[in-house]
Amino acid sequence: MKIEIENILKLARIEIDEKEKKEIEKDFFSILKFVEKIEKVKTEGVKPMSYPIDVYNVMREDKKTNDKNQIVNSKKLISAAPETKDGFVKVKSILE
Amino acid sequence: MTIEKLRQKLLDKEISAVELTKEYLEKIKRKDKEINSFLTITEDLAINQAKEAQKILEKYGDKSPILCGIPCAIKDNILIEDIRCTAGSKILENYIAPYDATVIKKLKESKAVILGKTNMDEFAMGSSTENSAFFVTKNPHDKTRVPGGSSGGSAAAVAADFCQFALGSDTGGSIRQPASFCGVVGLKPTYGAVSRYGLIAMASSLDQIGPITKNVQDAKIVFNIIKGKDKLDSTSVDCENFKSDIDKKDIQKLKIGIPKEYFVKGIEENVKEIIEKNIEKIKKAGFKIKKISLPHTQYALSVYYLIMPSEVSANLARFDGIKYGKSIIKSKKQIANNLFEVYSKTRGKYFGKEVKRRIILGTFALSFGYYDEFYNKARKVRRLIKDDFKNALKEVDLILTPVSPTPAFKIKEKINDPLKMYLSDIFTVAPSLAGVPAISVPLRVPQNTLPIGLQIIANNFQENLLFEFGKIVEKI
Repeated sequence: MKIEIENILKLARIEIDEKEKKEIEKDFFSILKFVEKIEKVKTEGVKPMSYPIDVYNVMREDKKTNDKNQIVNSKKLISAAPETKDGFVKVKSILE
Repeated sequence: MTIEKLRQKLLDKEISAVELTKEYLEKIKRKDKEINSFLTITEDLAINQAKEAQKILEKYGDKSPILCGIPCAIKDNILIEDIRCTAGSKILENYIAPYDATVIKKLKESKAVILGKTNMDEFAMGSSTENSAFFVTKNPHDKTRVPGGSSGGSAAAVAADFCQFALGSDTGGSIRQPASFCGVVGLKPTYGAVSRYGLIAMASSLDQIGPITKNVQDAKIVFNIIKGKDKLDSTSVDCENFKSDIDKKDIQKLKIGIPKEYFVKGIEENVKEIIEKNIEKIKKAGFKIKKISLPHTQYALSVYYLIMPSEVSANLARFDGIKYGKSIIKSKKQIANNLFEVYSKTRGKYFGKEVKRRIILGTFALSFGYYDEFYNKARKVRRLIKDDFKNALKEVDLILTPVSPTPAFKIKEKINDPLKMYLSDIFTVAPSLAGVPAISVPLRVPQNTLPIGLQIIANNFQENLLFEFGKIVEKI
């Protein structure tokens, strides 16, 4: 198994220096060795389990709600963003 | 002190809610320097809430809500509107919560007084609270030792009597293990019993909010306030599923199971001794004890360390330096040349080591080519673990195990060896994977020894059995 830590870091959107990369790589492989032992368990015909209980989508009509519990002040939400402009969250340009 | 006794003092006007709150705030200011259990003290909020609680106490007397004027502390991954919420992370150091979590709404409705936010491992990832980006919390029983984690601040604050009760969150043991280390009671409710709305998510199929208290009756009172179906959390479950109180005479008929897989190597001798001594006492008290088997126990920690990081990697994708929290674009030293670098440099700089470790492991377990072998396989073994509990709980009503293989360990003892740290949760992760409720109750230990907790596990939504039996264990 050839696992490239570099590639996982890219997928995870995490940039770290070489020293930290080495440390994390070492921990990663020792943890991987520990968790790998589940491959010994026979699981033929077992359905994968996502939640301890049955979960269903909760649907609501796509319209403005008046339920006080469901309303969050949008000014407070926007003001949490590191950069904003005209009441919008600002991002770097995505087209080069 | 109990919630009910404290309430009686308030009703008898022995002390006012404002005086009580001020007393606690003073104590925190004076003494928390030695423990470091609080990240934020919410003095203004607390005084205002206490004033309001006093008015209600005066107007409604014993008809006022059960928690009216009772001071509490909240783990810092639960949102309180307009109060800083860090989740123990640098990335949220200055984040102000824009709304109340559902459990906070419920505490506010029942007029509890919130004294502050407690320290925790970053994003609840850890078993010692040493992964907090801010400072290390100390165990009030021995300040050279950890309080456990990740709800270490909440457990320490209750043990040091900086509040009457606290809320924590438990993903693989984060309420039960610190409760055990600090000698207090901690409940992880049935998955779905308590709304997770406003809890900063770690692993969504495992996270549950629960009470940390000084005694079992307090845990019952707080749980009954915070439980229930919530429109804003699709995984919360209707209260009708909750079993009502059990008859006193039926308690004696409860059948108790002891799983043989939980008393094997790795458990410290004195922990084993105290647990076994107490099981003997329970037997003498007339309970039927039966040896049972949970055959997939040995795989629980491995399953947990695949499923939890996978969910972590998805949940923490939201910390991207754009919507909230710290961002590299505000840094004077580093420059992001494009959007990708805003993400990767922000996350690299402001996430702590354990958080990065878990995101990386989870990203790997979910990645193309490894998904089936790791994540999917883990989900299948998880079902087998759940079936173990389902089958065992047909034979017995309750299962007893240690909470942790050791008492509180020394600060720095395990911080550089993640696997060693993970083993601290070996007895608590299986009930979390299965979704069943479990409570940690402190056992009587010889003087000058560290606290040791007993884990009591029940079937889904049978928290009442945990409370009733827990009260018996408390007295034994």
